[in-house]
Amino acid sequence: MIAAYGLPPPEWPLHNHRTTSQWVDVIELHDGPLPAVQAIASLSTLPGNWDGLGSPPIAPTILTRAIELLTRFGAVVEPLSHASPVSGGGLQLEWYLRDRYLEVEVLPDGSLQYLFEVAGQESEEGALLLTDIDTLRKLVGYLSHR
Amino acid sequence: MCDCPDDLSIRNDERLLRRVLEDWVLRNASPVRPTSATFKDRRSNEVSVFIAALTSADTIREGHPNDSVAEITAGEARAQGFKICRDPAHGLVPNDPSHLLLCAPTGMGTKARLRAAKALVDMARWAYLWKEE
Repeated sequence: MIAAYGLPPPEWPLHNHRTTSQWVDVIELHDGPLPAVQAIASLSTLPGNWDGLGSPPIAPTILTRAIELLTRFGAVVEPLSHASPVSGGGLQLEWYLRDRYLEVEVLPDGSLQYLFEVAGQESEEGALLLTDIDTLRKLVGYLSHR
Repeated sequence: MCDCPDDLSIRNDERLLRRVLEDWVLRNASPVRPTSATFKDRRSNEVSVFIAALTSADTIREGHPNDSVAEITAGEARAQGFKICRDPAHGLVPNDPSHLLLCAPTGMGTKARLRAAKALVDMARWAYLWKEE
């Protein structure tokens, strides 16, 4: 599957009551993370002031960054548990597993932060660069189901 | 960024209510729980809460029928580094004495705020959990 920018609004799987948005990049996707991509894409339809506190809509660049992360994780990780908008214009992805938890937040400036927890241990937090293969490999290891 | 001092007239055992948007409820978890996004605001670094003794979950949800309400104590918020400030001007009614802000101090970095939001949501209890009929 290829998600391409420039699609007109009717091409989107929209809820009726929300506003439209468009991709700004082209990303090749395999079938594994498709439900996660759909969960992220659904955040594109949030209108301005979606939280009642003046938050802007989630920018296409933020959505694209989240989907880029999923493509870096690939198909070996456990399914995404939840995608949430964050007040201020970002979003976060969460994986709740039996004894592990990973949260990756895409900040309004497009940068990424992660928090990882194993039950009974101190959490680990840090910045995440999509070019940082070592950290990506570590996070994939945390979430791997193989 | 709020720069008020921590208002110590708000006791640590004061129960505080936070509106939880429908998108912030992790329905497929057991038990159902709010996500840490509940306690984040990347624009202002302020989290709006209400003193439970001065309002109710139903009042906070007015106009937002599908939202839920989580509860923490002032002491739990302070333990995660937040200052607590009164903000009656931006409550649900004019001069709302129940309205407070949890403020991330200026020196609290992004990583610390991530950790604080997760810790707070781990401690939060449901004051009201909306369920689809």
